[in-house]
Amino acid sequence: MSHPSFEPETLSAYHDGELPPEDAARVEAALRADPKLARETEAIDELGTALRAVLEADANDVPDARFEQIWDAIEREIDAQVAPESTGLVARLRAWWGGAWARPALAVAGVSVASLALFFALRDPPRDAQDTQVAAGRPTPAQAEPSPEPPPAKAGVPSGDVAQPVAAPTPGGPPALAAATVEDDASNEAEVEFIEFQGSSGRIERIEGRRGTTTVIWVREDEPVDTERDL
Amino acid sequence: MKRTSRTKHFEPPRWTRRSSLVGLAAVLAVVAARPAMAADVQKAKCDLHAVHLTKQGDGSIPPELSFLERELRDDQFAAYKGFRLLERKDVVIAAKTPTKAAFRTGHNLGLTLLGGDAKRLRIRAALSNRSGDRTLVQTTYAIDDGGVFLLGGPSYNGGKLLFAIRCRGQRG
Repeated sequence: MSHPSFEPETLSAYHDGELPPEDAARVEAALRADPKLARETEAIDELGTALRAVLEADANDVPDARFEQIWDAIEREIDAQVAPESTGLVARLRAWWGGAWARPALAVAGVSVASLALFFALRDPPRDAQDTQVAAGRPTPAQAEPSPEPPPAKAGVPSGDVAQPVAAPTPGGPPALAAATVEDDASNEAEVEFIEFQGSSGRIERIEGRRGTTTVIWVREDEPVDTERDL
Repeated sequence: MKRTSRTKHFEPPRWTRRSSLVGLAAVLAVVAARPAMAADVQKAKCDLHAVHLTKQGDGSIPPELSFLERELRDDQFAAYKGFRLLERKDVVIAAKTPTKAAFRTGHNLGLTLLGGDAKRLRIRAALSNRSGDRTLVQTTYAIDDGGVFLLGGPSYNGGKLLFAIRCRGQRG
């Protein structure tokens, strides 16, 4: 369906303004002379418009908080690259930033990163069977553990908790100074054998962490939990 | 679907029955061995972190929470930009003996070591509300030795609380 003298890639590049001036002039001359070729480029234009509309509609579905997070990550990455270098390099980066082409290039890079993030955000992640909403105080049959579990907790104390506190605050100052200790290869993936939300509801989620999948139990108290899924 | 007489009278070949018996024996052996494995670890040392999640902040993760960085950057926490370690507690939990960790926020986290071996622990956890008069959730889970388990959601000072539980078995 392409013009005998032009590849579809050439027409597409012309449409995107990516052809050198002499090639662009050659295409323009052919367009004036050949109505069929002109219609072909109009089709490319319509396709681009439709694609942009779809992508923009998808982007509207992504919460602002997520976009902010993406831009934060980009800025952090830039800061991390600039900070540890010598002043000479900083000066060179500033000179680079001052270049007329640099900002559009960075914008293109940012859009690319955002597109990738959008792609992964919209992709339906594989969910574990236990990624389930559980009603208040009513564990699903699959999650209920019939015999070994104790009866629901009495008021005042979580189930099974007796007066035997062995908890001790971390010595050596306020909590903010307490550093995380060991980093090891243990997997965080947990098998939830039993769960009961008492007087509230909640759900079990799986998220990807440093050591594989991490299990999170979200309790919904009196008010909704403000996670992105609730936005 | 209507059952045919052929299906009704179908008899598996002898080798299939032999394989089934061997499989059943293997399953029984594993089940029989399980209590011995579960009794292996009698104590576990746990570090518990109470993390405050807020919508105000620069999105940075403090060094003391670096072990949770990947998790906190997940979409689940996209609504939050402030991450602060409120309190850390180290507790030792013993087999079949409930242990309570009381946090300054008012929440109590009850932990019981139900069993485990060198690689995996079985733990019961129960989290109370802020005034300590109601259990929000109780759960039993099995996790790798040293693995992190997260309990989150209680409201606190305009944000939410996230409790990270990480236990390591102690032998002997």
